[in-house]
Amino acid sequence: MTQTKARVPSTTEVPVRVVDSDVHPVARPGAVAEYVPDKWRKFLFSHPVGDTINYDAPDYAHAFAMRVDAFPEDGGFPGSDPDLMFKQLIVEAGSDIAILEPSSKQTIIPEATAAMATATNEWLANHWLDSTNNWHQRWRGSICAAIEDPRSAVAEIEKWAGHPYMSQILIKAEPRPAWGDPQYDPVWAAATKHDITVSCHLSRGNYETMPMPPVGFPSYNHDFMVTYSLLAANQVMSLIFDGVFDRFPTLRVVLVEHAFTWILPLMWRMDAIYAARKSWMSIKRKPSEYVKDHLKFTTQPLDYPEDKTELSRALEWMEAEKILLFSSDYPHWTFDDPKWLLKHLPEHAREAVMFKNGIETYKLPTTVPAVESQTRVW
Amino acid sequence: MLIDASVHIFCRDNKDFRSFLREPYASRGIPDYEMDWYGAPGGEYLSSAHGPDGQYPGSDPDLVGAHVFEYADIAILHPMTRGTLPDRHLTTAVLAAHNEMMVTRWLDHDARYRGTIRVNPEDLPGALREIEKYSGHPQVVQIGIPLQSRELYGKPQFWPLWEAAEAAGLPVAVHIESGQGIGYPPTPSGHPRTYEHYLGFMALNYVYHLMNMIAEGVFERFSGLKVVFADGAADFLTPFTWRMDTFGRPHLEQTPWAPRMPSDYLPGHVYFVQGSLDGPVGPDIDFAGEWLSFTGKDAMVLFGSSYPHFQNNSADALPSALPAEHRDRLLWRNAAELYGISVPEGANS
Repeated sequence: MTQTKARVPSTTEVPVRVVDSDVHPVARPGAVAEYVPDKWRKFLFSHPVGDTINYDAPDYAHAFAMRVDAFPEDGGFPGSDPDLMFKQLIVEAGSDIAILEPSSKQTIIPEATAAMATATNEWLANHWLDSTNNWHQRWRGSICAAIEDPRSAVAEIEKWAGHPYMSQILIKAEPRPAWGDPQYDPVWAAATKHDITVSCHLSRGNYETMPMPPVGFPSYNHDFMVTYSLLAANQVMSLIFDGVFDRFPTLRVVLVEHAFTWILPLMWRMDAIYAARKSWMSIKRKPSEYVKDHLKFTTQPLDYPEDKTELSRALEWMEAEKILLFSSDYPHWTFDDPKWLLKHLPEHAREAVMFKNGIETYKLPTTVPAVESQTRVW
Repeated sequence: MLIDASVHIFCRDNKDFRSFLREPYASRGIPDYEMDWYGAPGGEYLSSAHGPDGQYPGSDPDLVGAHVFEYADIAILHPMTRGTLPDRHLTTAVLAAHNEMMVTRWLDHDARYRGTIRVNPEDLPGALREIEKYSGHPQVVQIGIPLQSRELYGKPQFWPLWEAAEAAGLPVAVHIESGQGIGYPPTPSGHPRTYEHYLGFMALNYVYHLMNMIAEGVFERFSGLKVVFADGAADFLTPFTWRMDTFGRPHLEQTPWAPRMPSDYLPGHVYFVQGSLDGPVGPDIDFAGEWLSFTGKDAMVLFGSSYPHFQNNSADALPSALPAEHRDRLLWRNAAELYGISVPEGANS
C-alpha cells in the first residue's frame, strides 16, 4: 500500500471531528500467545481449535462477517494490519481517532480469560500503541479486563491506567450475574479511582458465555443478534436498580454495539416501575436520569425504519446528544461509514455524537496531527 | 365502550382447586400461586382485591365483576396457575382444572366474561384435547400459554399448537405464568437481585419468541395465527422491529421459508396487552399518539388492567394527548375485532 513517506506526525494539527468508538484490531496468528503466562498457555494453545462459529452472518464461509475489502494482501485477517486499517478507516473513511477494542478470548474459566486479557493488553501496547504503529497518534487502546475475575481485572487497570494511549477499560457483556452484583464493585472502584470509562462489548462466546436467553436459544444469526440487545438492556436495569451509580457516582459506562434505540422505551419502563415501586427501591433518582448521566451507547449498528423521520423523532425524544457516541465497527461487515451515520443525526446532536461526547468520555485531545489526504467527514 | 383484555383469575384456595382435579393428580404435590423471591415485596395484589371473607384476589366472580364492570363492558379472563411443572401430565391437569373452574364458575355465570383456555405447550396431545373440548364454547375467545419456555415458540415442535389455534379461530395469549415452576433464570444474565428488576425484564422475553417466530416462518405457514403478548412492553416492538428489518434483511437468504421483511409479519398477527407500565411517561408527553403509531402499534394494543395485580391499569391514566382514534382502538376497537366481540352501533370510549 501507499504509505506516508516518513512515519512521523505532521506538525500541523487538525481538529478532531470524528471519534470512532468501536474499531477491532486482530492479532496475527500466535502473536498474543507469546504474552500468555505459561500456566495457561499450555491449556489454551496445546490443542488445535478450528472455527467455533455459531450463528453465522450472510456468506460467512466466504466473508467471515468481515468487510470483504478489508482482507490484507498478505493473507492476514481483517484488522490484523495496522497500516491497512489506517488507510481504510482514518484516511479514506475519515475517522479521526479510533478506539481499538480487541476481542480478547473469552473462556469458561475466569482465570484463563484473565490470562488472555493480560496478554492482549501487552500485545496491543506493543503492536498498535507503540511509536512505530501509532506514529500518527490516531489509535487509542482498551485495557481488557476479565470482569468475572475482579481481582485480576483490578490488577490490569492498575497496570495500564497511566499509559498515554490506553483510553478505556473493556469488559464483556456476558458474564453472570449482572453488573449490579456487589462482587464487581472493586472493578468500578478501580475505574473511578483513575477516572477511566468502562466499555462493554458483546463477545458471542460459547456455552454459557453466550447470552443464554431465558426462554430458549434463537435459531439464526438474525434472531440471535437482534435479541442480543436484551442482554444490554438487562445490564442497564441491573446497574441502575442495584444502585451501582449510587455507590460510584462518577462511574461512566459505554455499551458498545448493542444497538441503542431500545433505550428510549427502556427509560420509560424503568421510570414507570420507579413511580410505582419507589418505596421498595433504594435508588436515589429517576432511572432515566442515571441513563443520561452515566451511560453512553455507540451508534453502530444504526437500525432504522422505512420512514426515517421516525428515527429522527426517536433520537430527539431520547436526547441522543446526551447518550450517543459515533462508532463504525471497522472492519466488520456491518461497518457504518461516518458520513452515512452523520446524516441521520438531528443537526443539534451532530457535534456531540460525532466527537464531543467521545472526547469527554475517553479524555481525548481536541486536535491531532494532520494526515495527508485524509477524508474530512464534515 | 371498554374491553378489559386482561383480568387474572384464581381458584379460591387449594381445597377449591383440588375439587377440580381427578386422581392421580388430586393427590399430587403442587406449588401454590405465589412465587418465592420474585413475588412483589408488599404483596402482589391490590389490597382492595381481597374479599371481605378473605377470598383470594380474583377468585370471586361477583367481587371481580363489581370492580371490573364499573369501567368495562367486557372482561377477558386469564386464569393464572401453578407454573410449568416437570411432569407435563400434571401441568396439563392443573391447567384443565383452571379451565373447568373458569368455564363453570365465571363464563356460565355472567355473559360479560370471556375466557382464555390454558394449555400446556410441553404436552401437545393434552393441549389439543383442551382446545377440542372448549373451542366451541361461545365465550371462550383465546388460548393461553406461558411466556416462560425452554424452547422458543418459533420451533417446529409447537407448530401443531399454532395449527390448532388457527383452525379454532382463537388467538394465542402468551402471559407470564405465576407459581413456582421449573425453568431458566428470568434474564440472560441469570437471576436479578430485586423484584423491580425482575418486573422490568420479565415481560421483555417476548422479544425472543417473536423474533424466532418470524425467522422460523410461523406467520408465513399459519397465516391466520394471532398472538397476544399479554404482559405488555409493546413499546419495545418498535426498536426491535427496526433492528430485525435492518439487520435481518441480508439474512433472509438463510430463511427462505420467511422471505418477507420481518415487519411485514406483524400486522394482523401480533397484539399486545397495554398495561400501566407501558407507553411514554413524563410531564407533558405530547407525542404519545405519534409513538403509538410507529410500527403500527396503534392497531395492536389492547387495554388490560391486570386486575387484581398491583400494577392495575386504568383508562384514566392514559396520556391526555392520545388522539381519540387511538383511545378507541386501545380501549375496545382492537379487542372487539380480535375477539369477535360485537359492539353497539356508535360506540365510543
